[in-house]
Amino acid sequence: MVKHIQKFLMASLLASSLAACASSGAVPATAGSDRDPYESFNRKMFAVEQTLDAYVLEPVAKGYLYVPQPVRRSFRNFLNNLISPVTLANDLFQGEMARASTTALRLGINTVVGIGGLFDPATRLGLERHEEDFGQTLATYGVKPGPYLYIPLLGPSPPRDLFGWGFDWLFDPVTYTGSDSLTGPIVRYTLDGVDARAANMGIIDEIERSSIDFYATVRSLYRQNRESEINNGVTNIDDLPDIDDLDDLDDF
Amino acid sequence: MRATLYSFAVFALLLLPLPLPAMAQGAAPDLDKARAFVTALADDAIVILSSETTRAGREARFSKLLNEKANMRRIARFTLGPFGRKISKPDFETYQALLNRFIVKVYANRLGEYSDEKVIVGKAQAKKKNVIVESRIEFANGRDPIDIDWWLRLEKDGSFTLFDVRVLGVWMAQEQRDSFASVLKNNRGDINALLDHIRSKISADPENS
Repeated sequence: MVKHIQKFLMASLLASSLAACASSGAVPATAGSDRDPYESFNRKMFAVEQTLDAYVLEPVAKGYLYVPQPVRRSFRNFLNNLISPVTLANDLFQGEMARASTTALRLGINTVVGIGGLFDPATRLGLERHEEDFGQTLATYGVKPGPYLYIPLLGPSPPRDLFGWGFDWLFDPVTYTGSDSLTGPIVRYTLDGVDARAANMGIIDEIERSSIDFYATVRSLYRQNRESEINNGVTNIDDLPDIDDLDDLDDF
Repeated sequence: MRATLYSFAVFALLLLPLPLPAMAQGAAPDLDKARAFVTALADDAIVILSSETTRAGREARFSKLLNEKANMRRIARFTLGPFGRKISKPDFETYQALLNRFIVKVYANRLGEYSDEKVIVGKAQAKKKNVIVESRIEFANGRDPIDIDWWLRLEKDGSFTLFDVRVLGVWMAQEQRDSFASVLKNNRGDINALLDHIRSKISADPENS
């Protein structure tokens, strides 16, 4: 256990020093659509990721698609159930008691009735799944994401979310399985990545094919999707950009 | 007495769907009308995606639907970001024509993933001339449902047009604007570079080769 905490503290220190750099004024705090001070580095990392995807992840995911769909569904349910203690901890950190009780009930029902999480009877009972992580919790406390960072295999990981990741590690049951605290999370993360890549094969390829700048598209998808997650998927019309002035431009 | 009441009730019901007088400019958008607009639009899109088997057929009908229901000019302005204020009129017209073809190609195929589905239109909210209508797409094959928001604008004539669609938390026009801005930035604001990028995406489409 002491070993876990030591590792966690090191990861936290690293991440928080990055976050401190980000909030020290070097980068403007306002979130512009292209705010990406390390763009050239990020683009290189993105290229590394695309190579890894083409030679490793995509072929493995394609192979995984030969597994019958109901089996993949059950495996996805299992992975979702496995991560739910992290969601539960963050529901509580955010003071979202109703959502926390949904997560707790889901965890109990799916683990017991759903045979260790292989099935998802909770959704059929109207308990809809959601995910939370400490990056989102920090966002609800007003912490800005910091500069955009693209890390191969981790994907878009601004310092806030990177730090959140390290923190969530503590609440992740797989951290405490096996002989060390890293193998469990790494295995789970890898399996999760393969399953997600396989499940979204068509749409990912289609987005890549149709993007005029795939890097910028992924950045925009990540930022918007993250905002939406932070707002728990709630649509607020006040968050829309003002487009009234576009109409004035049309009479030239 | 009962029969009288009954016929009165029927008469009252008949009166309900009478078209309301054209909405005066500045009036608040009618949320039920906005929801009906989305229901019809989503139904049309699903018919196209599920009945047209060829890409060309799907694109042709999708293009017609978009031109009828979306304000493509406003979308074109928006996706250029601040650059939309600097562009010359001939360049804008070229951009507009290319963007229309590009959007049809991109979305007729991206949305191809979403055939065989049911759209449930949810609540709507309005601010000035903007309305957001929420909806949920449910799949027949057991895939997780997807939430889609539709951003409509109330036009001067009282009709609605589509401005943007949000899928899984991502507004599509904003995503296009961000990637176009990136291309413009990396080419020192040269609109021709952006136009060439869009042209090459349109012509790289397997249907055109």
